[in-house]
Amino acid sequence: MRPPEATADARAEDTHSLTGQRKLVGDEGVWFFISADISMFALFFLLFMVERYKAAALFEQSRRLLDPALGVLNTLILLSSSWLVALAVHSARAGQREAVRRYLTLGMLVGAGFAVTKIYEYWHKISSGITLLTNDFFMFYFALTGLHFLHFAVGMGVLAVCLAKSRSDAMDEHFVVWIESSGCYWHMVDLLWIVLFPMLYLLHAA
Amino acid sequence: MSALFALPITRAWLALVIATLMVFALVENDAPARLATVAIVLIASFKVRLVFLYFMELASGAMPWRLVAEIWMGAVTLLIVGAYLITPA
Repeated sequence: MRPPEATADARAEDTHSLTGQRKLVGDEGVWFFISADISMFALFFLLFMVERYKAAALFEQSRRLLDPALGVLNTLILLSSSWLVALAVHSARAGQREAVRRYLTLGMLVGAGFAVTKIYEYWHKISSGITLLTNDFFMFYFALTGLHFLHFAVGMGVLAVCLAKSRSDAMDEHFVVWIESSGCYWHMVDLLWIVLFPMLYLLHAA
Repeated sequence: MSALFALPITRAWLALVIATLMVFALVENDAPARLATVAIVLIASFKVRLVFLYFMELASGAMPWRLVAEIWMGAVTLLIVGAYLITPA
């Protein structure tokens, strides 16, 4: 095992092979999971677009009941949280424990804003009498955003574990792979929202 | 602070925030609906690519995962734009 102070240089060397091609960031198993997960979501996007084709007027009428400003806010929250987590990964490679902890804490705090906005949005819809059973559009809206929210909650848990590990674990190769893998999962939560938001909120019928 | 802004991940984040604000401007300004909607989906596709390449660090290789990411992004964009355009208004 390398001493922490040697981690940054060693990691910089490790991320490039002799052929000049960069090695994978994080654990390969996480990439298999990410690939399977985003493929599953692609299938859900296909189902949504097929149903939208069959009932364009209903989907347009229902879509207008959503608030795009909240969607934009949630996008900015997740993007900023992702950036802070990417900075934590960068700091871990440099063996900067305090910076890792600071960026992870900030990333989680900013990320928590997504939960606040989403819970407000669900509460607003449900208190207006709009539920999963209202129509096909809202079945997709609650199912897709609910599944995404589940991914978000798991991501927050994973980041919390990273934060706990950053207190006691050595800033070594093992920790770097751990935080890189966690970061990649968190970025996947971000990119799924980047697609879900325009698809649900902004597909304006001409 | 300047070192922070020199990082590719920070420049990517700034580009992502600007792209998101552009989407908000398109929504708020009542741009022609069909054109604006296609633009919004293409901007989303650009944002997904930035996340894959810079936050998930696939920019300089890491095959076959880079290929998986590019194919996924292309397929999802084509699906949403294609289905949107063929759906009767």
